[in-house]
Amino acid sequence: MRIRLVAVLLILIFSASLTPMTSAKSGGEGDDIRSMQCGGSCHSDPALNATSAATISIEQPSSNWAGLLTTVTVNITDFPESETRIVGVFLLINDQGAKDTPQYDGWTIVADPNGGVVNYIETRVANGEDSISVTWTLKAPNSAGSYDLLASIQHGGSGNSASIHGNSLPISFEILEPPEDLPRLASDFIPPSTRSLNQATIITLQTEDVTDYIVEMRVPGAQSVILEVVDGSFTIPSAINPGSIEWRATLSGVGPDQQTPWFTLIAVEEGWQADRLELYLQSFALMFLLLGLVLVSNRKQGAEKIDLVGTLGLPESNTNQQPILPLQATENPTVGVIPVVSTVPQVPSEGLPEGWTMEQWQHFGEQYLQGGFR
Amino acid sequence: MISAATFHVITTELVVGMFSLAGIAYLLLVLDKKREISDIIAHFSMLGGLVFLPPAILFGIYADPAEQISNELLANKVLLSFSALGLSLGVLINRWLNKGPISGWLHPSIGMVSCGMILLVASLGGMYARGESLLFFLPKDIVLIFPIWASAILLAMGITMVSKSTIEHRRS
Repeated sequence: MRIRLVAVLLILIFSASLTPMTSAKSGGEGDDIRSMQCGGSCHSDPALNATSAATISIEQPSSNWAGLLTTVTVNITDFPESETRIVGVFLLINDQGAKDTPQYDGWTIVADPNGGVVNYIETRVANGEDSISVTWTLKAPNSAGSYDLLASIQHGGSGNSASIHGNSLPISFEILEPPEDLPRLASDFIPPSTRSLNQATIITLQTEDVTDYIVEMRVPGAQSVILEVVDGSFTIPSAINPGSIEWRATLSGVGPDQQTPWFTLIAVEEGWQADRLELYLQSFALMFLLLGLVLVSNRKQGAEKIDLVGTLGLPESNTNQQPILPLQATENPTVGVIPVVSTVPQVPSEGLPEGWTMEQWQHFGEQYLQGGFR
Repeated sequence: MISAATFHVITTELVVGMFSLAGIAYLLLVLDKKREISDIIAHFSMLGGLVFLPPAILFGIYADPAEQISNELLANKVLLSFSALGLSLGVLINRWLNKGPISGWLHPSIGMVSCGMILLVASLGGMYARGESLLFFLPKDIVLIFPIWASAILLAMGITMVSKSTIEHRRS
């Protein structure tokens, strides 16, 4: 018995040692709209924090026109050693940790670097690399004025380290009212940010004050190529592997020519998906099926008890065809009583053990007589 | 406002704690040790866990309001939770109908399986939220989703078995 106890304790201690004692969520939190350091979660505890050795910088927006699309790029260099190499990047308007998402200044996130519409994204720094750049596509605030933007990162370190984070220096810039005849994309035009593999993408530009435009496409970092525009639409060829391409338009009109920012289009492999109705129906089916099986297993056990009556001399066919006990009880009361009496051990002459009820004696009497409770 | 995810965490912690205790008590029953006390602890702690299991499932569902479930871990969590719910209900109903401890190893073994399922669900939750789990060696990304007609047949079979068992119990 003691050896078993020691073995169980050893297993528990060994299991505990397998649990990483990390304070950071090493698997990441997932992309979302978040305040810096998750707005007061464990990451804001100074005792659980460390400062990142990475250099974080944020580039000026690609255009400064109020209400129009623009892009903002965050560069992270000198990324330190990290076990998971996951880095979370925030795009913020201040470092206060509250009311700091770009939406508070009137920015609209049109596309984040992962193809979503959030200000916090997680990405992985490739093995062997120590830098990464991520770009948000934003619609600038409708009001002209002075605005700030800031980038912040968080990541894990090696082993079971605390959460590590760092901020860029904030950038300040002016947002200007666009001239009335400025060739521009329509205010309700949203460039697509994701697409499936093996699917060409046809984009129809919606523009204002534009008489003509040309479209360029490039793989990030490579030379751009001109795409043919037919009836106001152009086609981006399908991708056979997950990855991203960029495109931009040069708009011509009465006003000065304008170039849109480089818009990123991410080709993603369609992940696994399940319909909720199918899943819930199957869940309920499994629940009722397992409930039914357990109940039936108990009934079968009960049937075995009834079969014991058969061993006492009753015809076996009767046990299957009709309820035995009531029938036998009316025809031959003694037979009906036998199974009950035979399962209860005889009460000792000195009576039931102190504090015992008859029901307890029914179940544990046999064990008591064999010395199990002494 | 407190989010559904927070309530999900609160209720799942209650469920996991109570089912863990129940699992240990069922193990003692299987080993035929301390039957009297183990029987009481096992069934009462399972009952306690069962009270919080439906809210835990509901809050978990509300925590991810997307139309499609796009994560295998979440799908496995839902399937395992409902399966454990069915097994636990069966174990408790059997114990209640029996009006006393149930002899043999089958009943506590089913209870243990049910507790194991709940602990596996908790492990999947850890894998989903933090990307790590002690049960890292289990293939958690394999999900079998039946077509609706197959689920409907299984559901009909389950309801029939439950109904038949109820009718038989009433007759006896």
